[in-house]
Amino acid sequence: MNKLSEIIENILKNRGSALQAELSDSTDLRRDMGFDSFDLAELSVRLEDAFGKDVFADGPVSKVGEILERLK
Amino acid sequence: MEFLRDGGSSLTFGEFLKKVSEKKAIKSVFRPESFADFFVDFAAALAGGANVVLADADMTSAELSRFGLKEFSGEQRVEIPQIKSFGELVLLARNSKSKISLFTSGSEGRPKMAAHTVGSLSRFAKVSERHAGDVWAFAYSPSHIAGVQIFLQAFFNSNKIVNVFGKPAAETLEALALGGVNRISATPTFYRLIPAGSIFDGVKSAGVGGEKCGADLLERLRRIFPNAKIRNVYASTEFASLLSSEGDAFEIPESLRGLVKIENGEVLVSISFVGEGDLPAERVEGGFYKTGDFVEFLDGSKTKFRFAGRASSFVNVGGYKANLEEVEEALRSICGVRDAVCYARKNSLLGNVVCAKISAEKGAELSEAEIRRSLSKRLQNFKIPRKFEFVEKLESTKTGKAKRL
Repeated sequence: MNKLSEIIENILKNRGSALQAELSDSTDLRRDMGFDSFDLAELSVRLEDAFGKDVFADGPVSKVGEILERLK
Repeated sequence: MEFLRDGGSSLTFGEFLKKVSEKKAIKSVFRPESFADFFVDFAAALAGGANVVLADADMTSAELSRFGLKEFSGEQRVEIPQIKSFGELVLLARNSKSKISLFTSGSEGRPKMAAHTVGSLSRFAKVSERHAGDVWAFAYSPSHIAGVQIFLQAFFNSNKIVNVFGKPAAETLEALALGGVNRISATPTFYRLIPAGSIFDGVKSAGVGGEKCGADLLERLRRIFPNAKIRNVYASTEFASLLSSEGDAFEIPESLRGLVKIENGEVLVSISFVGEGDLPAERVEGGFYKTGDFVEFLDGSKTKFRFAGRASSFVNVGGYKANLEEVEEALRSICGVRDAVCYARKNSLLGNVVCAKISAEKGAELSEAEIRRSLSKRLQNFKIPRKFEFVEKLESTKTGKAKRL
């Protein structure tokens, strides 16, 4: 979760935003963090580099909890 | 007087002539293991009218056999007539009936072979008294089209050649500053390795080719070579040099109308220009060869155009077409960025995303956030790289072009 949090924070920072609240399993990146497809794609690239897994290989998900599941 | 210089060794005109004259046999396929020997063999082949295949230094016998060619040890007899002077050697070479086969760089898939004559290889060569004092910095791979063309230009004018290809930067800079070099031709990637702020006012002509040369590089060249005429050359292994410009905009000259044309933004070249070789059938249509080089016409012009990129430089990102070369140019225009190369990375969500490798100018501090901010002022969102890697130096292909993964 920490690494994921760090990565999400980085993406937001690069966009000129910041992480406003702590992430929970139910946080929806699209709805709550304003992520668009390009941000999600970037997330998948960073996660793949960090964990060696393509989190969207089986279809797109946008809830933090779902992403963590896929990383297991 | 020195003709060829390569690091610490050199050959005078006389020594070169002697070596060529004494050749009884040369290989049929040869590689530049030694800079000087390569050109001695090449000149001997031309003088003797022998057909040759020029291969890369690292080409293997297995790769060679794919072209139906035997291993490198195969030799052929060569009959060199009595040559009394360097000038006579040059004349023999210029009138040679040799067939010279070269390989494409294979930067997009497997290398292909293309055959040329001395005529097609020296199409742009200017031979005259005006060039008597030229001293060349040789910055291309000797076995590829650009290198061969430059060699012939220098050879036909009996000019000294200083090898700087694949040499450490310091040696190149020394050759430019102290080697008496006044002409150079190289790829944009090569030129970007010259530190910003360097000035070589002795160079009177700087050619650039092999990759698209944008306005930013031309600006850089004008600063590095303030007294030089800049020549931007459009060429390829398949058809040698074709177009030349002093800027980044080209025009098809009268002499080539009907032989070179633009269709759907792509440059098409009459197959009469293309060396005999294995032209892929899907690239030939109606007597024209599709080069895969795409152009954009200048605003309001029907004849002036800039190169937009190779077909392979366009990638699909979320349904939008991103031009990798455009992104590279945008990156290079950012203060502190020395060079950049972009590549596509497969992505489950968008199909592809753009990624970038960046090398910084000496002493420059670059931050990803700042780079993104700069890019977003210039490029649409889908073109912005989703991954940035900062590297010391960008990898080049064996012909000195930026390696895009």
